[in-house]
Amino acid sequence: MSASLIEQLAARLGISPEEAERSLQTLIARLHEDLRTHGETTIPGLGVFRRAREGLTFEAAPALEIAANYRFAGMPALPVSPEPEERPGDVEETERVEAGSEDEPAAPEEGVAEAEESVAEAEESVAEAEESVAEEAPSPSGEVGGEKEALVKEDATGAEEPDEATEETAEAEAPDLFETVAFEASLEDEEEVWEAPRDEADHPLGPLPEPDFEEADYDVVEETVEEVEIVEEVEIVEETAETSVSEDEAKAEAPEVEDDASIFNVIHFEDDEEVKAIDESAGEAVDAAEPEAEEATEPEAEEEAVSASDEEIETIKRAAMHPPRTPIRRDRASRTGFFIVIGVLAVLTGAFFAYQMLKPRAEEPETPALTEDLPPADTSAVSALPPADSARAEAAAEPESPVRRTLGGIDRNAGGWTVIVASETTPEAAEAAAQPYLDLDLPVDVLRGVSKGVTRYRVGVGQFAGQAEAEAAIRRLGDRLPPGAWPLRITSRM
Amino acid sequence: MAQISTEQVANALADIVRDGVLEGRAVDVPGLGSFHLEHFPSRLSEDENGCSVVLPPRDTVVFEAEQ
Repeated sequence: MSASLIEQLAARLGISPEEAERSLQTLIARLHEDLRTHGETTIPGLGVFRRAREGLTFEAAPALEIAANYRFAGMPALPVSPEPEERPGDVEETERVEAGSEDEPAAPEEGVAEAEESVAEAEESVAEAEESVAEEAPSPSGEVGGEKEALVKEDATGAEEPDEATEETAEAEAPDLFETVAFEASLEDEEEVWEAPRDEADHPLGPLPEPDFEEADYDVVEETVEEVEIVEEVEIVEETAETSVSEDEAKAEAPEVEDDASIFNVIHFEDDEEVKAIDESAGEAVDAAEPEAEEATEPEAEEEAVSASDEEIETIKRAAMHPPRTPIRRDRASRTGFFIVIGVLAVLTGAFFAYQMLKPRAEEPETPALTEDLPPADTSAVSALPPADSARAEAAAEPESPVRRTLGGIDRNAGGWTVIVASETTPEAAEAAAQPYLDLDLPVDVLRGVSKGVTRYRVGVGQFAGQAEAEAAIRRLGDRLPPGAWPLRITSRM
Repeated sequence: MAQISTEQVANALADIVRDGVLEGRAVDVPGLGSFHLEHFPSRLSEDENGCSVVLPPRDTVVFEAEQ
């Protein structure tokens, strides 16, 4: 037994392979038994097995056949050659066979000839019937068909021989011819019903309406165009030509002049003189044209009109050659100038601010609060000394020279006030800043202090009894002292 | 264990044969024969009117009985 088949069977039935094998053997035995007894057996969903001479045959179930042939399902058989035409002889043979006379001898040749004769006679009768129908009034096709049917039948019956095959052939062909003739008759009927065109005079609805235009209109238009051209040429070529100006021409010219003048007024802003000249000439032309419209017999007015039109033509030509100057330039120029001014102002403003930002600033000495980190001053010793005496005493203490070249000289224990001229963060910088003031007739020293948590080394100049004296010294020594010099109380901790 | 009826076995056999044949495999049933799918190309034939026609190709289940 096929292992794969048994395994699949066992899997589908949910049994062991041994049981599946036994079940399959039982089924096969039963199928063979049915074949022996009944000659055929069926497996539902698979097909029918039959016992035949050559052996066991199988016919698949319809569902299985369709499923197997799904790729080519619905494909029909395609004819290769056209159907053969039905010849009278073939039809006769077919009828003979159908009549069950397969063994009887047939006379196809005689029957074909007689059938052909009958066909020819039928065609002649059809032609006669057509002619008769053409002469008659339109009638229902049925009547015509009936007549023709009678004719055909008569011909068919008249042409037939006692031979049964011929009669059968004619009767077989008559209906076909009848249908053909009836169709042709119907076509002819339709042709006779054709309506005549409407342009015929005897049409029941009457003739067609006349067109709106006439050829004569074109002639009139052409003539007017030619006349205008001729007049213009005359005016351009001959200034003094005595030509009669009709009312229509004058009216045609006047509005043209006004339109041209208005155009020039819009375009030419700068050519005022030209505009004025044109306006004047146009006005004269209009004024001249109006009386001309009434009389049309004054040669002087005509000349003025001709000259005005000549000037206009010349100005038109000039304008065409030179492009018109529009007032747009002025607007552009004014806008451009405005932007230039704005730009210059912006540049100057920026330069001013940049200068202010970048210019060097003079170092200003620090100006802390007067009450900052300063203990109460000991004014007892200071009050004892006059303001100038302290300076003189110090100067006398140093007999070397009235000009101090070294720092020092301020008695911290004596207290008093001094003038601070510099404040540095290092003693070296303070000593360097004190050098310019050593030539003053005042003591200069570096005083140490703390301001906002930062140790400052201040250069003090002079030692004064009180704040007022210190401020007076600042005013007195204004040029020598830096701007912003400020008085400071002297303490022992400096 | 429930007994399997012959009808159930026949149905299962039919399913196995159908699935195998449609997949293009040959299925051999011992004691009966083998089933396989065979392709027949298109061919000329005549219809009932005697006109030549081209029959479309087809796939058919072919059974070969066991000798």
